[in-house]
Amino acid sequence: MPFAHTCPFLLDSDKLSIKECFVVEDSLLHDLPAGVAHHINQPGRQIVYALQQGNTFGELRSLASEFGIGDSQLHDMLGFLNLAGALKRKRRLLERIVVLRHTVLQLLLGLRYAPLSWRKSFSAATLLLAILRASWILLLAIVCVCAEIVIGNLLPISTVITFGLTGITVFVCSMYVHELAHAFVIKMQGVEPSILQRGMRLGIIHQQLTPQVELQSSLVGPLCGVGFCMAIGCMLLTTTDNGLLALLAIIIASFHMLSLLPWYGDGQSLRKALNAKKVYQ
Amino acid sequence: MQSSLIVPYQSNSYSVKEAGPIIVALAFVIGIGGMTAAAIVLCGWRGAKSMGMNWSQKRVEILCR
Repeated sequence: MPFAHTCPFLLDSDKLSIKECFVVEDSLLHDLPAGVAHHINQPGRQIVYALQQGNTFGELRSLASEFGIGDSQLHDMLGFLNLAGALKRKRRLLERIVVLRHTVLQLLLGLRYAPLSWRKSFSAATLLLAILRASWILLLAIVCVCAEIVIGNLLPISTVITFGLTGITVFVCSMYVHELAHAFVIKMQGVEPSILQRGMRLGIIHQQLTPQVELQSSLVGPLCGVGFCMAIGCMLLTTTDNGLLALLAIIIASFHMLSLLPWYGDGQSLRKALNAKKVYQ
Repeated sequence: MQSSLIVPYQSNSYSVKEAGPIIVALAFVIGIGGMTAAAIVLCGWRGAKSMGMNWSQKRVEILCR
């Protein structure tokens, strides 16, 4: 079951539904923004119809057993829908607290469930929200390390606040510029992108592009991120006495360059586009 | 053996892209946090005056107040 590992943790009382941009037609599940259609086998269609109406996970499991669908098949299907950002989950506040406790206990045992994907159509506000959702652990870590430095009496509190705030601002803004550049190249082709965020991962979903445009999009994002950090670094170097703040901006710029390595997203897209271009030629 | 209920469109990938900068930045912050924790353990409440990397001897140097 290729997608079972991407199924999020679900309670029987969780209300599940499918996003409106996914439409079922005969045996096909159309992802309208991505311009693709996935094939669903007959019993799977019943699950998608039930999801369109909105059902609890418990009800879905009963329905699945009626149609002879096994638990692993159901988890696989929900895993794929989560991967595509199609799954919507509603959970009561009290149950969220219980699940948080379970999640922490499971993490201590080395068990980790896939996080629920978050998918929205592209806009300035949704992009910022997606970046904040993807990097909240990093922002929390920065705050904790700043507190640790103050407790350890390593640096004056004003210096720690300056470095912490500069780091957070430059990082979030550079990520914003990075993603905006990707989206700009895609929009120039008349394609409407959407944002998909899952855990610490963030990406732009779009219809299939030509290798040339894919190549441009992969390169422009990291380069704009680096350019933004460099510009901020130069500005900090000229306006403040502290060269370390400029160094911080340069370190953040290097993080953007690293995303061009083949095992990260942009590097993978770049390699794929270069291969496709070779085949095309 | 049970088969998958869904067959995804081949050339479409939902693998989300931007994890690189966030993960590397988190590793960097955790590294600084680790060094700070070491300084707290070694120097106690007096605090550390400075800490840095001695590249020639390949070790971290923490000077207490």
